[in-house]
Amino acid sequence: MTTIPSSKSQSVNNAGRALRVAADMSRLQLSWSAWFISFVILAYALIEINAQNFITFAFQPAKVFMLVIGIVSVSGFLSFYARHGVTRKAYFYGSSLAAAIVALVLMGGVGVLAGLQQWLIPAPSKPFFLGENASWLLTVIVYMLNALAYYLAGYIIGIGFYRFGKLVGMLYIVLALGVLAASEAMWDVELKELINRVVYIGQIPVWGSILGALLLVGIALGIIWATIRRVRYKIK
Amino acid sequence: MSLNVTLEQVSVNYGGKRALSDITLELEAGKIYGLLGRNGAGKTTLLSLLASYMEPTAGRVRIGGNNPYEHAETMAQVSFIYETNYSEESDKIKGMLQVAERYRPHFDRAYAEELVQLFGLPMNIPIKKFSSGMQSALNAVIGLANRTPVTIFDEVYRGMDAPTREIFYKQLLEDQADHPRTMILSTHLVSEMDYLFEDVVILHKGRMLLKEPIDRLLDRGASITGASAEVDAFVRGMKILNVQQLGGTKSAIVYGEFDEAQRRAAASKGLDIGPVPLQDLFIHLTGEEGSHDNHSEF
Repeated sequence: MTTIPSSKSQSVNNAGRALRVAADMSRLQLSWSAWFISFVILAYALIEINAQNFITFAFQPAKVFMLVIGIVSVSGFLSFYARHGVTRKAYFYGSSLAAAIVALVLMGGVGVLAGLQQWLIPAPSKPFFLGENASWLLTVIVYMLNALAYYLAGYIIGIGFYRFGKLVGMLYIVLALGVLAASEAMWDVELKELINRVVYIGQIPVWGSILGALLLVGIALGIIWATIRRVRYKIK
Repeated sequence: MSLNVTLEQVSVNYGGKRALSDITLELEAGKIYGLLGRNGAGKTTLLSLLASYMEPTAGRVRIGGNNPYEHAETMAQVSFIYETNYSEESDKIKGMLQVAERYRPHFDRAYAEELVQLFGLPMNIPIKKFSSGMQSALNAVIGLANRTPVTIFDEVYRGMDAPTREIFYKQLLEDQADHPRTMILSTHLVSEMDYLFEDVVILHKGRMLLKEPIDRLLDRGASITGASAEVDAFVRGMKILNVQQLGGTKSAIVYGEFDEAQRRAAASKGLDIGPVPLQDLFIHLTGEEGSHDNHSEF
């Protein structure tokens, strides 16, 4: 018997699979993000509306949210897509793209809400670490990169535990903490001043920090890929 | 496209133990294979290799001539269906079918919906709230409707009640007739499922014990029943799998084929040569004194 039993046919390749995984994963995670943002807006309206700008308020919980969905993404999706015959490579590219999309839309959404707030009721204070005169666009881009770094740190923890179990998984927590510390350091004005006191390197421009953050994202993706590319899919 | 499955001298070490040793096996496209073996024989490890869940430690696996591991096209053509943990699956049937349709090139949505009706699965309840039998039936639906050229059911009947299992077997045979694929059924329910198999593969302690068409395998076993002394004389020198005695009557199960002369000789001594069910052959071929699971679910 040599026939494939269907009239319907579609060519299958890693790029196509990755795009489908990216679309499916980002749709689901964005629906979680919508719930998350609703709660943040509620909390902001109740307790913080006069104290600080919405974007500043939402930033910390958004980072934690990204870390958490990064951790649970692996146990939630990897074996699921394995059951549907998706390669590790397609999953890696798809899930990473989904992470970027979620970071983009979540922080973009926060940016738009904060802009709306600025327009309706002038905010009590401006966004913090980029200084008083930073543009909204730049602020939002920086927030996105931070959110992505947090998601990828979670992804590192998730894949470490998935592949190696608890003991080596702990080492992946250390790796993830390293990524988070480096990510925070990129934008830490006080740290930059401290470094300047030791070795004077002058004012590090924002694009320098952005480049550093992109490099960090690349390193995190490298760790994830090295771990996932030969992972044994779990039967569960 | 023909998707023959071949394994050449495949070994797998796992967790410091050898799970599979030197397996060489060819599965022709379009047949239904029964994969039998006791607990820990390496069945699921073998199936994991075909589904690219893992790589062999040594040897080669080929599906349709390709190494399936990380081969996007081949992996999409292999369904590995097993008892799935749905404890966190808040999606409903519709969502599950949509996903299968997106990732399986030959998925037949209409057929899947027909099967859902046949199994009486509820459309409006999250899958995590299904009974284990309903979850198994859903897996069966997806496995059948995927229509992948290589379809593996690893003890997929767990939790299904007898009528549900009957529906599953009937659908499997009907759909296989219309859309032939390489089907591998791994099971402990040998006596219930043996009529589905065309060929039988038996693994024992990580090694290939045999692979044969079921008719030939069944021809290899016979039960010789008659007077004790006559039976003893007749089976002398044969591979005796089991002996049961009731009063002066003895029944010996032997492994080996009989020619016409032997059959005539048996008849002349008043001995009855009868068939041996696959389950008995399997138990005797893989059963050893002191083995761990004399109480398993055969």
